[in-house]
Amino acid sequence: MNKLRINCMAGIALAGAISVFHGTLAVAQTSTNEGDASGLRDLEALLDESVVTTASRSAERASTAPATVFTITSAEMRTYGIRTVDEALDYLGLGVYTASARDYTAPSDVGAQGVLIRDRGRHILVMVDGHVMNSQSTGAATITESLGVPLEAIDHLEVMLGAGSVMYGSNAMLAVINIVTKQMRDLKGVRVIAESGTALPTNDGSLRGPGDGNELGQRYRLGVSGGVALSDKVELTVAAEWLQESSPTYKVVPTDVATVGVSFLPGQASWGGAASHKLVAPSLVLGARIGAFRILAQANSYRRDMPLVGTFQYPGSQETQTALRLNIRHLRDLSARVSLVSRLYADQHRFTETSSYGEDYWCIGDQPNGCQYRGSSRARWAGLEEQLNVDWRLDGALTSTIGFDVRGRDTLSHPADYRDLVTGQLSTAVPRPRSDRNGLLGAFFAQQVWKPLGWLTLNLGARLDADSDFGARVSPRVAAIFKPAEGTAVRASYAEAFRGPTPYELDDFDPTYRLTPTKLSPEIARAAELEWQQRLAWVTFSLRGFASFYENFIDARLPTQQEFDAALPRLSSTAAIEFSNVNDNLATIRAYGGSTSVTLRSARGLALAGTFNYAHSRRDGERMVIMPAWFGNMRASYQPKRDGVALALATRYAGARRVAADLDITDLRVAEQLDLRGTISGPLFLPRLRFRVAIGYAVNPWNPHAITVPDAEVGETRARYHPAVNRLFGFFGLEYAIDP
Amino acid sequence: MLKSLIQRVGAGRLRVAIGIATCAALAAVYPLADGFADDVSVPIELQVDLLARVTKFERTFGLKGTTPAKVVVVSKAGSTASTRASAQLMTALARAASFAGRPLTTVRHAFSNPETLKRAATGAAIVYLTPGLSAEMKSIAASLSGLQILVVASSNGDVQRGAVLGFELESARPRIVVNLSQARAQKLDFNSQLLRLAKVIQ
Repeated sequence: MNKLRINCMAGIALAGAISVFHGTLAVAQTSTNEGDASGLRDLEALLDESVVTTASRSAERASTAPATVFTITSAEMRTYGIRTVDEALDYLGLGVYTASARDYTAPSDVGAQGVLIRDRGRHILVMVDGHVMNSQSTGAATITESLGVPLEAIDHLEVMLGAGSVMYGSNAMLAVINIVTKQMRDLKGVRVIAESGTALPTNDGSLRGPGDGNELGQRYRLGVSGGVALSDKVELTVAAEWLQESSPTYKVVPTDVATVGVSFLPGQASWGGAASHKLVAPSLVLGARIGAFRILAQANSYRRDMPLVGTFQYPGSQETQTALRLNIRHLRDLSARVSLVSRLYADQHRFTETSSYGEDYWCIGDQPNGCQYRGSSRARWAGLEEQLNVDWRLDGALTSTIGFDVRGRDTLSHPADYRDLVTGQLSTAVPRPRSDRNGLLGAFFAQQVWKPLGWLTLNLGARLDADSDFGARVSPRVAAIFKPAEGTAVRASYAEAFRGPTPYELDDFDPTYRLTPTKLSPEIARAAELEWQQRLAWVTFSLRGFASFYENFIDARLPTQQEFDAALPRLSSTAAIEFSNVNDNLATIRAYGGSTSVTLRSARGLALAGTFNYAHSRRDGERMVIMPAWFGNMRASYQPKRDGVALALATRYAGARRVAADLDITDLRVAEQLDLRGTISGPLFLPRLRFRVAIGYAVNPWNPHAITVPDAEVGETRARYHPAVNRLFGFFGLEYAIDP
Repeated sequence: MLKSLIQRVGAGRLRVAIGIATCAALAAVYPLADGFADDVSVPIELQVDLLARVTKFERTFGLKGTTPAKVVVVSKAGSTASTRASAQLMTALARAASFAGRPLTTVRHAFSNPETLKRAATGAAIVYLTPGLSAEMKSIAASLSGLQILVVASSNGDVQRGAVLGFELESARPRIVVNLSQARAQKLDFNSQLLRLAKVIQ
């Protein structure tokens, strides 16, 4: 571990040295090439500043936004060998840490602002072109392969850090991730993409070659995208992708100890051996612009094996998701001062998770053969959002935004079906848990932006959400942005956010161990931030600090005897109060921290950038442990000619943290993480043919997830049941454009 | 009352009438509009900031030393987008005060035809076109051809139609677009370093 720490520190020191050297060089160049070089770099720096819309629902420079917003472009994702949104955030983002086990129960946990919880992304809001992707049944949003947006459809990611409920309501507690899709001019013609990759098997964290029960992993991605303008009023775009992966084998140390989370099929003497999993994720995005209308339709399916859940490598243990979404947006100028944005949306999302258990301990009392567990939910929702923008003085100095969002939702969940492993019959010993809810959300939001002076922008906003499931909640935000000098921006802001309990949480019940909560209230976040952004000719950097307070965080606790007794008619005879839990508004979290980012530019196509984030978080007075205290990334790319060959190296690093297991946190620690990715991309032989080849390596073999809570008997080895499966991998891709 | 109405008119006809009325109401609230009204372009304030820097890399602009530079902001009557953009441009240009050391004098011109625009642009260094002039872009370019004027378009696509310079968003980042053949036609000379940063249309 010391070695890893030394490597990390050496890397940071090296980057610092490069920065100083590069800075010296840039200053020297400026002085020798007089004003031209300096002016050019100044222009380049300005061209590097993003125009964002997520923070205040209207286009503005990132430096004047009322919150920290950064963007990641599709070109950057291509250059740095990025394959999914979570990878983009890890290697190219700021302030967001993701932990993606992928072959385990939680596809991706996303942390920010000092908080990381095993929550399937419930505390972040994910949108595609402003359309909410979080399930209205479970609240979950995944940003791995299950996101359901083909890579070729993504134009850029816009990420707003901190509380964002003022504009978007529930779930926007830690961050808002808006995935902006490409338009016709970016997809004109037809593009075909084929990518193939492989990964080496591992055994107890060590890399192995194929053979002797070890198998290489394989990953394929086929994509097609295109766009056509039928007239000057009608444009159509399409992007489709088929993604399939068979993981390399990863050896799991066998155990014959049947304990929490370890279950044997009848006849099995031990749990473990060589495991692997498959993943299939097709997705489709259709876009149309017809006059002032913009229509987005999205569909995807996702299936992922979970070989380490329940009985070992059971073929039926998997997670599936399907989604179908429609978003129709219309913009109308009512006058020079007033515009109206309307949005009509409808979604359907299904989620199932199955696993099997050989021990009757995990099953209902009348299932001595073992059982298959299945949790499922289906959500349908539709809504209308209207947003009126008024530019009072026609100069952008005094603008108001008011709007409403009305959403109806219909959710149906079967949180815990248990079928006999042999007969396939549902248990008759207890009633089948079921939740069927129709809910209504009404929200009103308002925002006032005032620029009283050229160097001062004030932003004041609030949103009232009234929900039939949890009542009403107001989320205010106030921000002041100072621009005392050209290229300098200082922002101070305060914002509140919330996450309403979802229908799935409100009615959660499992007859073997989980009780329905009596009452759940919204989780609340309050955050104050101070940020300094500086743009110079050759460097852009930012320094940001925050203090966040979270209340009413929902977590599991032991039920009281009274609660357990009340639930007894619905509980299995195998349920025991000491192994049962119930959700409640329990935790209070305080987090203080900050982040810094540096981007260096060179006229010769060299780009260097890095981020560092630190947070100190306490939950009910105790140190929060699964969010690493520090993390970040560093990257360098060299592309002497635009659209020419690009060489890139990206790293992500994170400090030591506790290992997470299911919803619990273990006493085990995983050491510092350092992941490297080298990529070469560019044109290949034919004028319209491009390639991308990348190699990734994880210095630390252990993924910070364990399959179960360790016990004294097994100790630390239990955490190693789940190593990093793709410790060394590579992929090669080709893209051919027809009539670009 | 509703029952008697249904009996008198007939349920089928009533449904059709309700359908037509609903469609008419929707069409009134959500008209198709003439073009892509939701084009996210570079904010006007940022366009002016960029233009201030770009003029440093256009040789003929700098040759005039500290002579005041006249900027003509051209608006299209009846276009709400044009009215809004021209007002924002006037404010942003007033705030910028000078480009490449040359103080700015700004005038607004309501477009009627290319000839009157040509007269209004006499002695101007920059003609800034607001949205709504795409249909007239070719004739404007033809009428200003030969004059040493930097014709800047504020909306997407107008550089392809004949403006010399414009700005567009590419993956949320602003990009300079230069129509090089039109620049030559207007006797403008951009620095090659600037062209390296720009999207060049021949």
